[in-house]
Amino acid sequence: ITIPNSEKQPSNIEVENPLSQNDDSTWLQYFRDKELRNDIERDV
Amino acid sequence: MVLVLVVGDMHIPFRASGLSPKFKKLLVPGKIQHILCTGNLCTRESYDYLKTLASDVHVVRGDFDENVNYPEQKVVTVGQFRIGMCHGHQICPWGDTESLAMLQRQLNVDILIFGHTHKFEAYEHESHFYINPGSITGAFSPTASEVIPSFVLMDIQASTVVTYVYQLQANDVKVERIEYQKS
Repeated sequence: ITIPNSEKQPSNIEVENPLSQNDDSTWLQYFRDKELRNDIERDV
Repeated sequence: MVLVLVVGDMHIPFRASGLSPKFKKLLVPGKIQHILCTGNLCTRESYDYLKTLASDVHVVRGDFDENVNYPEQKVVTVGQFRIGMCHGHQICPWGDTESLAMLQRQLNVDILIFGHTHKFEAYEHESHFYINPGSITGAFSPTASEVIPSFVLMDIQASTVVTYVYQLQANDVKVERIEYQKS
């Protein structure tokens, strides 16, 4: 799971922000991964 | 990494009917850990809405809040940061930097959050950080000629706060990013 790096100045702020709904966003990817990991932990 | 939503001055239903659908789409449960509200939600319904986004909701009392049990001031600690909250109608003149600095010293906080002027502000003053999230509904204010709906999201990591500002301009959400480092 990659935690989005806030400290680095992102190239496109409209995509790279924590509430972004854009599929290219590392933030959205992070929240999806977290959800998936929670599901896996619940199952095993 | 902790995400803190800073929001306030909804004035629902007296000055605004509700949040913009564009904002509602962004604000989904499961992302935000804490909510700091600068007050003037006005009715219980707005509080209940915030509760759906995160379980930890802190509210200070605004001059139009029906709930009289909200405190006038509050200090919340998130990670390494002491965050002070106050609606801001008590600060004279409203939104004045020096008067706010006085409150910051009184509460002994790193970050001071205030509202009331319905105007977004985020700045560093004497190495402390000040945030006014503005009004999320863009509600009328007698002191502002044009109110842009806005709210703020803080990403707190160790001794750094990255502030994301969401503003509704010409029916589009504009995002800005401001960084503050604790000294």
